Amino acid sequence: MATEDARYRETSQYRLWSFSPSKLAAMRETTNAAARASISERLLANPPPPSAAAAISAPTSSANTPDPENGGNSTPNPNALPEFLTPADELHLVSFYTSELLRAATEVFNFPDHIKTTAAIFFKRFYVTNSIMTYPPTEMMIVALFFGCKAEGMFMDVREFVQRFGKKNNEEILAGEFLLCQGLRFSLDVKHPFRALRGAIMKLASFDDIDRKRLDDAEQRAREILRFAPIMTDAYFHYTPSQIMMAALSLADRGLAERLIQDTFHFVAPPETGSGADTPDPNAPVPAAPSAAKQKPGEDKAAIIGSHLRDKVLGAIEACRDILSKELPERRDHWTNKSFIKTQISPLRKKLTKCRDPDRWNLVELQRARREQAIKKGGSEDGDPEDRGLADGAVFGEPLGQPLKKRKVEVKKEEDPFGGAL
Amino acid sequence: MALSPLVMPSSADPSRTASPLKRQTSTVPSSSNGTPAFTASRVTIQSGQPPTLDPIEQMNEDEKRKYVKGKKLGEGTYANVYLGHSRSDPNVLVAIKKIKVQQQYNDGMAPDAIRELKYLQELRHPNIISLLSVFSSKDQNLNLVLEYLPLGDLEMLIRDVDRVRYGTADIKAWMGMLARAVWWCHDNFVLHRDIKPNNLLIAADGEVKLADFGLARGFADPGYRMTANVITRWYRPPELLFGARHYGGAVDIWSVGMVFAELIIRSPYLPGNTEVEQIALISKQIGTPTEDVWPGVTSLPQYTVPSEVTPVWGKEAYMQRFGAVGPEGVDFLIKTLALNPKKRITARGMLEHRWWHTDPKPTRKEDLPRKAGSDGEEKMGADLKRRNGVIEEENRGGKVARKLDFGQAR
Amino acid sequence: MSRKPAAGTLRASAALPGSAVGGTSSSSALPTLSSDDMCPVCKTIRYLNKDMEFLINPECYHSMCVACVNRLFNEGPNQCPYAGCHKTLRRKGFRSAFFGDLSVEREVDLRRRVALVFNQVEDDFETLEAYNDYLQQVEDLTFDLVNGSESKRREVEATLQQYEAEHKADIERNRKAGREADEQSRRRLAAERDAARQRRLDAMREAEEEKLERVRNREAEIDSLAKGQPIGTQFKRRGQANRALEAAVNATATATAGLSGSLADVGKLSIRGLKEKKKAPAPEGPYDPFGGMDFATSRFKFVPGTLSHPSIERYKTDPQHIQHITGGYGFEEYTARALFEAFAGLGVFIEDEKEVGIGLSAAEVASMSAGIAAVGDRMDLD
Repeated sequence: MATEDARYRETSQYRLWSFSPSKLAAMRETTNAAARASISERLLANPPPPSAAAAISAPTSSANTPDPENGGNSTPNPNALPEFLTPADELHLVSFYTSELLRAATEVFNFPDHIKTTAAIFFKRFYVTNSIMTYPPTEMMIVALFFGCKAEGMFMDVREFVQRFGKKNNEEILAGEFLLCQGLRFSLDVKHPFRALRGAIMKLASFDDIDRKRLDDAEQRAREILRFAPIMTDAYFHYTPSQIMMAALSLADRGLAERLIQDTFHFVAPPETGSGADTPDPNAPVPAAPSAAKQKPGEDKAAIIGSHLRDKVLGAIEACRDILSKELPERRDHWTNKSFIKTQISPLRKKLTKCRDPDRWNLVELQRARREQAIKKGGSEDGDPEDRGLADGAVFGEPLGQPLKKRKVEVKKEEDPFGGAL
Repeated sequence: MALSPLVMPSSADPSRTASPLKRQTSTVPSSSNGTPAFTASRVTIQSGQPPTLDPIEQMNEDEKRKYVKGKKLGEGTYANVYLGHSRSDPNVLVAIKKIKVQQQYNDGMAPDAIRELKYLQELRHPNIISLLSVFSSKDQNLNLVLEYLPLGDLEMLIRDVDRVRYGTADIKAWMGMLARAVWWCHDNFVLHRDIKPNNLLIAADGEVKLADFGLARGFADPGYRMTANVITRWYRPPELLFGARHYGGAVDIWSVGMVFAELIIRSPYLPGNTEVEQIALISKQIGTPTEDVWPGVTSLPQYTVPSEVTPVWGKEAYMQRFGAVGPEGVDFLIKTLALNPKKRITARGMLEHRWWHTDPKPTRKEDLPRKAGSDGEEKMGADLKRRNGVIEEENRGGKVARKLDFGQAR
Repeated sequence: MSRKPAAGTLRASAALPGSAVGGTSSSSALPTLSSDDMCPVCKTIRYLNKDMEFLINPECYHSMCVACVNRLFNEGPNQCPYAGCHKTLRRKGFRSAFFGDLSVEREVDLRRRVALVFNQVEDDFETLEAYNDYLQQVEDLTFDLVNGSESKRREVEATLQQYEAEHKADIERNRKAGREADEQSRRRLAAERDAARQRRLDAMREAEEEKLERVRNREAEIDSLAKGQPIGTQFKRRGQANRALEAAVNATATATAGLSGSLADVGKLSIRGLKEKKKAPAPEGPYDPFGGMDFATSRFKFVPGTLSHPSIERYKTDPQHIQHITGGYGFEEYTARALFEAFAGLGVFIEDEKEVGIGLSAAEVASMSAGIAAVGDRMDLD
């Protein structure tokens, strides 16, 4: 196992925000379901005014097909729920807004690559654990841009920021900021492939037998790909920046990528050493049982740069290539295409307006409500608990009471987006 | 560990590399009709009632409940620090740092908070303070749960000249820890930018830990300008005093050198009251930065030096003042205080220096001097360690008067 | 257990003329030495014999001047001249008292006598209680010996002798152990003193030498300047002198660290007292400045200065960006980082790992990578 890999496994990107494709899909499902449930509750408890109720259509069995407004329901059913977005719908919208975010970052602000990408990844991550029905994407998009800047060390004046978007008040952004941070599980470091690309090109340049122009072209194309494709797809969740970079390089110039891999994974185990490493090396004879904890250097090397690992890496890069090729930079136009938006996006947006969370849609109100509640419940939290004579258990104000406890247990058992206890 | 926003397992734990999602016990049916998948009851909504909790908010709540907040340890403009302990194991003490909403900073979350959060999450090393968890409080404030370091900081030890004594071996041990911390930061491409004895906290077992990453940032790519207004003045290197906007790890190394000097003479080496004075002190006590020792220095934006040019101090001069750490130690010090940042030793270079292998051997961390006097915190920590009902028996014999020896012939 | 000799016990038995004259403290039965004015026997006053010394005999602790002792006992045993004291004294029993207060002298002698027999140490006992009991026993005996009546004393004396006879072997052993311990401490002190002296001498010598060296160097410089040679060639000698100095200071530092804090004079530091290293700590290996955590890169080997990129080179040469160099920006740091990121995570297969988990822990990785690093130089890792 290489030290570089071990170091990568320490990053929050790996620990908290890397999933297998099936896991990711499951998480999105869970988020979606949870949102539907909770929004349903809220809508049922606070039925919307009758005029809006008429526009709400009863849920159909296959909620995938966008249901045109029908006036079929003459009697506004107070128990009727709107048609909710499916996970697929959500993903579609998220992708759209991601593209918008990138566009704004480039056209309005001209941010450097790492800021744009960080902001976009923040946005995507946020909507893995939160539903787009719960929190408004247009606002969160701006929040993600703002917060992405900060996370990358560029601290902007919020008023200046909102002005560029043509908005007047900055409260929304500030209100959403903490929410975003929380939704990101407080991990703010996103690892990108851009510098890795530079490193790869420098390494290739040192081989001396590659044409400089070829390198430059490849770098340029690869960089273009990296600015768009991994962000629009789920590549960041399933592959490491190194692999993403290799995939992009491969798409730009397959030969170069293969050359680099060959050069890195060139170790051939000498015949006498049995490979007791975790992956059997086909070049070595039948592996002997791993005897001592201290493995022979040959085995270590096989595990790190041997041919078996090389094949596995090549496989991963191929898979990543496939993912990236679905959203090559040429697709930018697709996402901004007017007719596409009209047919695909607008209906979803309309659907969204009906099924959104009434309590949370307005970020400013939400934050205010939360703050007030905190003050009301427990006074200023800066005082010592002892001063206020609270028991040990009430850390931050009184507990919300029984229903919360009950809920906590139930949530843990059944509906758990993160898969139970760690 | 339950649903925690952060996964921070201890070091030799094989499960650290397993996914937090590995054991997904629940499988939510992916039915696409509108029926909700569960029937958790909630607080019924009435108008004016607070919004209920999402799964991720619930996770946050769970995380928060893992820790019991105790008394306030300190209050600053930036944050309040509370002592706390793990609810499941009261012996595990933590410091809960609650970041205050800044009055002056109107642009949302403060930069310090963001930087601390970002870098403490990624850097894990025995000589860097550990971030155990993060959660948000009800009033939307950030709470960082850090490991509790009860024995104060290095500044306390240095300043308490009357009651705390330490020697060369102790200095070497502390410098080793500091050097390791800085090396790890740099190896992960992070500049700390605020190294000073005040930010070197001491753990219960004597280990020194680098804290306060509020000014940290990642190494910049070429062409990116950084602010020169970082690092506390007394520990700031000349390139920053001259306003350089492109710099590297050498700025931290200079601070390390200043801490080293302070450890030896037990008072700040160059305590300037203004930037200009700081430059003057550097000029006098280390050497005037001129073109021959530092090509290009005169072109830095705020380059200004006193008119009297002092040649760079040689080793003999340093030996006079700092000779207590031996010639190898002085060599180490000189290399960290090279005026030209390009010539300054690197973090790795520090750890590869000969000084670590000369006598005396660095003191073991358990044997390092501690701050004098029994502080409430210390005592409390000690108290918590002791088992109930057991009186410590170890040193009773010391109180018994020694038996006079009459066996000697006169 | 402090107790005063019962006032008047001994006084009743002997009406000492001396007590009326010399002793002012009436609480002690035995008179203090009349070390200042007069011998109670011959009444010689100090004025007549300036260097008058007094001796006592442990038989009865009566003091008299040397002249009297010689006069009375030189020809053989004689009776004690004090009125009422009929003890037969011999010349050789007389010695000068250490303490002014003769009762103390007596007690000390008695204790010494007891200690010869009862000489066990704390380590010989299982528990602290046992040791304390032993001490109590001994104290009781001593009290009786010092303060008891005649008969009591005889009893105790008998007990002592009996005990001595029984435990002869043990007593002898303990005595030997005590002697050895004393010997050791004496030797150590002597060594310390020597070392200190030596260091002082060395330091002086070094200072002298260095002064000479400097003078010599300056002269050499001037010479070489006169001859037109570069100055650098002269520095080698200075380096040697420095090394000698370093060795001396190192030796100092070692000696200092090993000493119990008394004679350290190096620099202005106050050196802590030496801890009693009774508990031998587990033998530690040499100090590892990296703390066991130096992960060498395994997929690539970065040699500074070998890799470059046009856009980076631009920053190095463009005068507009010269500040990168002067400010100490690390281009090589950047390159190392780029390379690291290019390979970090290349062998991390998220889909597998997040489902199954990986086998090796961080510790194993560290040891493996250390192994690789050791072999790595031979392999062509590039």
